[in-house]
Amino acid sequence: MTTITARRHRHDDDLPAGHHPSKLSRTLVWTGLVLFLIYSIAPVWFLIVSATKDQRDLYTTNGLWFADFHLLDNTRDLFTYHDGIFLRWMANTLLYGVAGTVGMTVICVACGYALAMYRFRGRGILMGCIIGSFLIPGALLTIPSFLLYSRLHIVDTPWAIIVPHFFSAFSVYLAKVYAEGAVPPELLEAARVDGAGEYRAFFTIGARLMTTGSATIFLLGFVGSWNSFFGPLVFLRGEQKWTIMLGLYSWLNIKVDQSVDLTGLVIVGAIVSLIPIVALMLSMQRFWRSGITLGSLK
Amino acid sequence: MPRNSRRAALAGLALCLAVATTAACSNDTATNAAKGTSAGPVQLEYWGWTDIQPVVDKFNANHTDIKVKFVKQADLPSTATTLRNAVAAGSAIPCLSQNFGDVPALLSEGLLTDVTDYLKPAESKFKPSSLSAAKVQDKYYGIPLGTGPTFMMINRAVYDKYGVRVPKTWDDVIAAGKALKPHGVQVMNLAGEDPSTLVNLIVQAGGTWYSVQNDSWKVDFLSPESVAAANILQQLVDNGLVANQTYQDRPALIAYFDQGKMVSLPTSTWQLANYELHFKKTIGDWEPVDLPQFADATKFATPAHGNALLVPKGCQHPKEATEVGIWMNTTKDGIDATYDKTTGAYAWPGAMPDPSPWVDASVPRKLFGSHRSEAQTVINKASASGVDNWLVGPNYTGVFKELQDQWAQAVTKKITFRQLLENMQKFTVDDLKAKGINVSS
Repeated sequence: MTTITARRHRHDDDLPAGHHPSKLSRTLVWTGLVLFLIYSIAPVWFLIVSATKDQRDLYTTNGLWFADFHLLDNTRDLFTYHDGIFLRWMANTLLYGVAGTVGMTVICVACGYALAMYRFRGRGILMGCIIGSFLIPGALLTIPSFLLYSRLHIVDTPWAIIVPHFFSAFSVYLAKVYAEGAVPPELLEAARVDGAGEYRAFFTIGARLMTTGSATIFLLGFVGSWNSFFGPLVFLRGEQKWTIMLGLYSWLNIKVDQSVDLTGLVIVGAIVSLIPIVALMLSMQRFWRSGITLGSLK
Repeated sequence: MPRNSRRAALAGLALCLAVATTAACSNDTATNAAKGTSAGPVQLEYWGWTDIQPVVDKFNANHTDIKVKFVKQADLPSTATTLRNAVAAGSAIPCLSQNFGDVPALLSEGLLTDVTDYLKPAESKFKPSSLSAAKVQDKYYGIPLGTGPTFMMINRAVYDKYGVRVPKTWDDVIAAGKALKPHGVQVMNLAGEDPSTLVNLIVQAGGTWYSVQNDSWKVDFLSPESVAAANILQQLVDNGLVANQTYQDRPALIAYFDQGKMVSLPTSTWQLANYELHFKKTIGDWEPVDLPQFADATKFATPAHGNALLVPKGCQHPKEATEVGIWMNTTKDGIDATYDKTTGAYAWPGAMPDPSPWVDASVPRKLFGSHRSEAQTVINKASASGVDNWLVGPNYTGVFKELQDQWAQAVTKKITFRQLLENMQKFTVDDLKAKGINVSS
């Protein structure tokens, strides 16, 4: 409590003498924030309300308010439809996500560390290439990657999703920037003097100091992989290999030319597919908290 | 009619093609067994977004020399993309693919294989009007699927409430629209993104935009059939008799249809289960009636431009693929295997010369209320009177996109339907010329 008060005092001190935020600006800020809140919450609200409706009410009742309560039926349908294919998709997504993102984190953190810590010929060009590659839209690489993967015979196998995910230019960039801030070169120098090899210095010192950065990279990568759609769409065939997003997409589109309409299942499926991401986000929060503390101790 | 009806019909057809002859089936099995296969059965992949696993299982159970593996795709566009990728890469090409476009256009893209030698002997198993859609210049590039029967469903309760006569001709539809308009009721719906109503009218009139003359394409958007179709649409739009509800937003569309403010809906069997499931207020009020005719028509006709189950280029076993396709679409076993527990219906057997055994199952229980008994007659009549003189040119994929743009302008009164046809004529001829294809004008 005291710290908060103290901070507020300090904050007020920062303002020019005699300046108080006017009522008008307070009102505007509040209105803006409330509108933004509604904007952020409304889709989630719609999703929750819709998940409790049966297929007919979904189309014929007010989208923002409840009708008859069918959430349990819908959930049961979701997990039993087509012999529980949805669970299979969840497991697939988890497998591709964890395998791909763990590999990506290790590789990209190592790359970023190397770029930040070592001086070698071509380093500038390499960094330029990495940043330049941000400019290439992913869709442009579809056909070349398809041809490449089919030469490697990995099209239509999980490898076509997992392996490409290992390499992320943005994560390398993030890791480099983080390593520059978090790993003091003097520390590595000291380690070398004490007889540590480069690998040991990386794994026992560099990688550990970069935990927060790695966690960020992992989380971003995992969310990206969880939501990824295009890769699975192009490279996986047969619903046994699909991911959640691809499966839900297929369910959503089935009504376009068939009498089956699975929109209700898509809505419940969308909510269920949020759960792992939310859980991961909450469970990983401690990394950022400890990260901040780490900085303050230095 | 919803934009995807033709596509759906095709999908249905693909399923249905499977069915025609139980007898033929058992014969096939016997022959195959007699032949003896030293190298084991031929393996084929079938790509599609409609789940036909039960049909494939049934086929595999009945056949020893061919085994089909169904590989499910996410939806139509992704099937098209994936197949194009596979053909470009030249590996892992399936031998059968659910239809995602017109045969001539896909052929000119280099996606299809000639299966004339294997299909020709089986022609008699198919409904004659289903054959042309799988052909380009007398060669087959897929297995004919036929099409679903087109009829109309009307909200009879509203028609009766305002004392409006059930329309028999398109002119009647316009008259009904004028009578209903003062009550805030619209007679039909023309979605801004879906030109299929125009196309279907022209097909119904026996017209076509493309034809082949000697060695070149002839393009005629201003034929009497096209102009007659355009006139009807022009009157509907000019008098403000139609709604422009989009098919993209299914909940809004269903809610709108269910309000009783839009009362006539050209449709086909595959859509009925959907209306049955979703209508709340108007369920039981609808009546199936014959598709309205052109006033000067000499013979009852419904549009029946079908499509084909595709045999992609690079397929290693076109003969076996054709055999599978023929079984799936022309045998009783094949059609019966398409039974859907949730709707109680079968995929429409569009290529079967006689689809009547599957008609009753395709009519839902409640949608038509006391008019349900009329459905069988209406559907059989529609199915027996399909016409298909419609020919699709090699650039139709692009032409259809342009048509969608023009259509959107015409239904919103920015241009007339006559102008639409003139613009399309110019666009299509120019496009063919630009592609170096012979056009005679």
